[in-house]
Amino acid sequence: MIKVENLIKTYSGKIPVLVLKGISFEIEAGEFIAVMGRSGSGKSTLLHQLGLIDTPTGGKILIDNADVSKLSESEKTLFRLEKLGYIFQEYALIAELTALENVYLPAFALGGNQDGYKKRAKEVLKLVGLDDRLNHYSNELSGGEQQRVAIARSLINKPKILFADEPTANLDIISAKTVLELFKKLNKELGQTIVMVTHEEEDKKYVDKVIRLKDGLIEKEEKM
Amino acid sequence: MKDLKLALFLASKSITKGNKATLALMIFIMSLAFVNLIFISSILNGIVVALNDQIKTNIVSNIVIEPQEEPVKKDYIIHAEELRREIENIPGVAATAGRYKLAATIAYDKEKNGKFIYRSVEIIGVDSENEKNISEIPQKIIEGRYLEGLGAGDIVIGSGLAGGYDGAGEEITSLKGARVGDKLKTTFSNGVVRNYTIRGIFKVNFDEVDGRMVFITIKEAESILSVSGNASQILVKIDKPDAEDYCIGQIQKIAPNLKVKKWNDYMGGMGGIAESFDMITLIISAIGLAVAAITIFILIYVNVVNKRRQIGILKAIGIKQNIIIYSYIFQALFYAIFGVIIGALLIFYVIEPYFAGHPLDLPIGEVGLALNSQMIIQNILSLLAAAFIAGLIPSRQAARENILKAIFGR
Repeated sequence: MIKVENLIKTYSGKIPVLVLKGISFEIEAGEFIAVMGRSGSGKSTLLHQLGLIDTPTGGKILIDNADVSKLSESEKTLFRLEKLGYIFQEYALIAELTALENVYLPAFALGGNQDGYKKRAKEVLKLVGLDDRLNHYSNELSGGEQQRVAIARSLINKPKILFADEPTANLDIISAKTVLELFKKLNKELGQTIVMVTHEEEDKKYVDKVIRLKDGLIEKEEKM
Repeated sequence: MKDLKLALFLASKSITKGNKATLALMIFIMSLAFVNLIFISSILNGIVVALNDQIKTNIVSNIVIEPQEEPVKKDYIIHAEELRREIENIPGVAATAGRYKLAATIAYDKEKNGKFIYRSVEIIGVDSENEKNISEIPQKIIEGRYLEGLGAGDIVIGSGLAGGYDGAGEEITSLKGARVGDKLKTTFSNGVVRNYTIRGIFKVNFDEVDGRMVFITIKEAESILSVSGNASQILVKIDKPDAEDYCIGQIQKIAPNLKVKKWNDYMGGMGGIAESFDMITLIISAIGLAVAAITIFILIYVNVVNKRRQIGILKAIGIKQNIIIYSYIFQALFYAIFGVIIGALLIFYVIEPYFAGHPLDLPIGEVGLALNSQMIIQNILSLLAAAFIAGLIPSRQAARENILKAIFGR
C-alpha cells in the first residue's frame, strides 16, 4: 500500500539540516505501524512526508502504486482529503466549530449530501465514544476528548491510511490508553491502516510493526 | 458552488463564534470609514450646491444675456422690454429681468468729519417688481426696505458693504458701519455724481453678494446713463435646470447677435470652483478610501496572523486554499457590509438631520450635507472593493504558506 524509496528530506536554511537520509520501507494495507526513535531521529518528519503535508527533497512515496511525491499542491490537497487522515500531537480542532462540525468539515469539503455526512459524523463520533458531545466546542472538551474528535474527523472520509503524530503525547495515561485502544479497534475491526509516531515504548503492544529510526535512517523494523 | 458554500460556512462560524470585541471593532471601524467617505464627499458637495444656489438665486439666475459684440460692439441690449416679453414666451422660462450695470465709487463719511471711506462698487439698476421674480435679495432685507416704491435718491446695499454684520473681510471691504438713513456720495465712471440715502440693507450670507452688490432703481440708472428702454444684461430664470440648454438655443434664435450664457459659463472663475471642489472631493475620497482599505487590510491581516495555525490545520485536513481565501474575503465583505449599514444609519439618521438643523455658516452661505445616490453607491462599491482586496491579500499570503510553518511556525 505504501512504498517508500530512498526518501530524503533536507531543511534548508543558513546551515541545511539533513533529517531523512534515504529511507526505504513498505507498509501493507491493514497494518498498524509505529514509527519510533529518539527525539530528532526524523520520525515526525517522515510522517509529514507520508501524510503529504511536506515535500520531500528526494526519493519516492508510492501510495497504491501512485507516486504521490510528484503531485501538485492542489492534487496533494485533494489526495489528503479523499485518501488520508491526519492526527496531530496537539488536538488541532477548529475552535469556532462544534465537535460535530469539526468532524464533518472534511466531508463537507468533499461534497455530497448534507444529511448524509452529518449522519456519518455522528456515527464516527459514536465510534470514538463522543456521541454525547456533538455540540460541544473544543474549549468545552478535555484533551482526550479533543483528540478523539480529531480522530473522528480523520475518519469521516473513510481514509485509506490514518497518520497519527504522537497522538497521546499530551494526554494523561487513561486518555492515552483510550486513544490507543481506539486505534487498535479501528485497525482490527475496520481494517484501517494506521501509521503512528510515538516515543512511548509501551505503545508497541498495540501495533503490528515498529519502524525504528536513528539519525534519519531506519535502524531496524520489528514485527510484534 | 460547493467551495463557496464551505467558505461561507467557515466565515459565518468565524464571525459568530469568534471574538465579539474584535467583531464589534471591525464593524465600528468600517462604519467610521464609510461615514468619513460619505461625510467628506457630501460636505464638499454641499459647499458646491450652496455656492451654485447662491450664484443662481442672487447673482445671475440661470441664463445671462449681454449686448452684442459682433459685428459692432454695443453697450446695451436695445429694446430690452420687447425682448424680455418674447423670451418669457419660451416654454420653460419662468421669469426675466433687465439690469443696468454701472461702475462707481462710493464715499461714506461715517463720523461726518470729512474723513470719507471710499469703496469701488458695481451698482445695479433694477426694476424692483421684475427683480423679485429672479432674485431672493428683495426678501433678504435685514434693515429698512427694498427699492419698491423708492425713488431717485435711494440706494440699497449689502450687509458686507455696510459693515458691522459679521461678514468675512469687512475690515477691508466695508464702509465700517453704514446704516439705513446714512448718505453715500457716489461718483459714476461717466463722471456723474449723485448723493444717495441708504434705504435698505440686505444679507444673503454670501460675501460675494453682501459685500459687492448695490442696487438703485432702473429709472435712476437710466438717468445717469442717459438711456431709456435698454439693459446692460437680461437675466432669465427657468423652471427646470435641465431646460437651460434648450432655452439658450431658443433665445439665440430670437436674438442671434446677443451673447447668451449659462450661469456657470458667465461666472467663469467662480463657476469653476465647483469643478475644483469635484477634484478635491475625488482626491480626499481616494485618500479616505486608501486609509479605509489599509485599515481593513491591517485588521484582516492581524486576524489572519492569529489564525495562521488554524489555516495550516484546514490545509492539512484537505481544505483547498481557495476555500480558505474565500472565507476571509467573505469575512471582510461582512465587516464592510455591516459597516456600510451602520454608517448609513449614522449618516441618514444622525449626521444629515443634525446638519439640516445646524448647517455650517460659511462665507458662501449655510452649508449642509448634499447627499446624492450616485455618490453613495460609488462609495459603497469602493468600500466593498477595498474590503475584497484587503481580505484577499493577507488570506492569500497565509493560505499559500507551508502547512508545517503555519501550524508549528517553522
